[in-house]
Amino acid sequence: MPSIYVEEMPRSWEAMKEVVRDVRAWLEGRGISDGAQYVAEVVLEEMLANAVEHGGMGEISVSALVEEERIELCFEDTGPAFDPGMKEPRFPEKGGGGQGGLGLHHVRTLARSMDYERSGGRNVVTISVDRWSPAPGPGSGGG
Amino acid sequence: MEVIVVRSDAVLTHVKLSGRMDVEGVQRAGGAFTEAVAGNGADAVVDLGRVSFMASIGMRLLLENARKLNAGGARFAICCPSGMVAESIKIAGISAVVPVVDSMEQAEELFSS
Repeated sequence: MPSIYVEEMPRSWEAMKEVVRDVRAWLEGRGISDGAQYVAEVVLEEMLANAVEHGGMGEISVSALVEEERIELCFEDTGPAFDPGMKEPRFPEKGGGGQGGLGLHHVRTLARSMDYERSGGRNVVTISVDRWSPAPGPGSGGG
Repeated sequence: MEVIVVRSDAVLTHVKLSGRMDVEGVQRAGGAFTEAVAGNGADAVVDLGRVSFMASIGMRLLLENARKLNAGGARFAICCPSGMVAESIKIAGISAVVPVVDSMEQAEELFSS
């Protein structure tokens, strides 16, 4: 199965943007649906941004694997443990305290599954995306 | 992410965004967007019809501008998101706190009410 592995991405926005560009370009050549490409890019963007923003010191590793029916993305880092649970974002307009959790909520809602484990002082997050996810049509507004 | 200011006066700000609202796009053009929208202080309509990708950093940019305008008594609406971008906005709950309309006419109607 085709795969890509990025080892020890420095925790910086510049490095993050470069990895997102590289993995995106790699996925584009893998014959996945437009919807799956979008969701995989959301996963990459949100997980790496979260790690850069909240992860403290240490590097991040990323891998992507395209299988028959799904795309598996795996992220490992040495940042503090976190709760990947399905929480609704908190909006002050709705009585919440900010918009914390927006990125993880975005990922969990679009992806097929998200598994988290803390192993050897590392966060290991494995996210699965349906390879043939359909993209909503142009008429699907957001109202 | 590209920012095109279609109209900017004391009554209305109309901005069209295009491209990717991701870390790269928002870090590059988010300042120009905020200057055009919150900086003007008038009611604002942001057209997302040509935005092809929306990450949470893009949603936060929209929410921050909406809050700044609302704090000053002005209104903020999102216009014309489509496809996966519309889906992202919907599932994140943005459409529950910021009005989303399908056309400029709807936005004008919303602001005149």
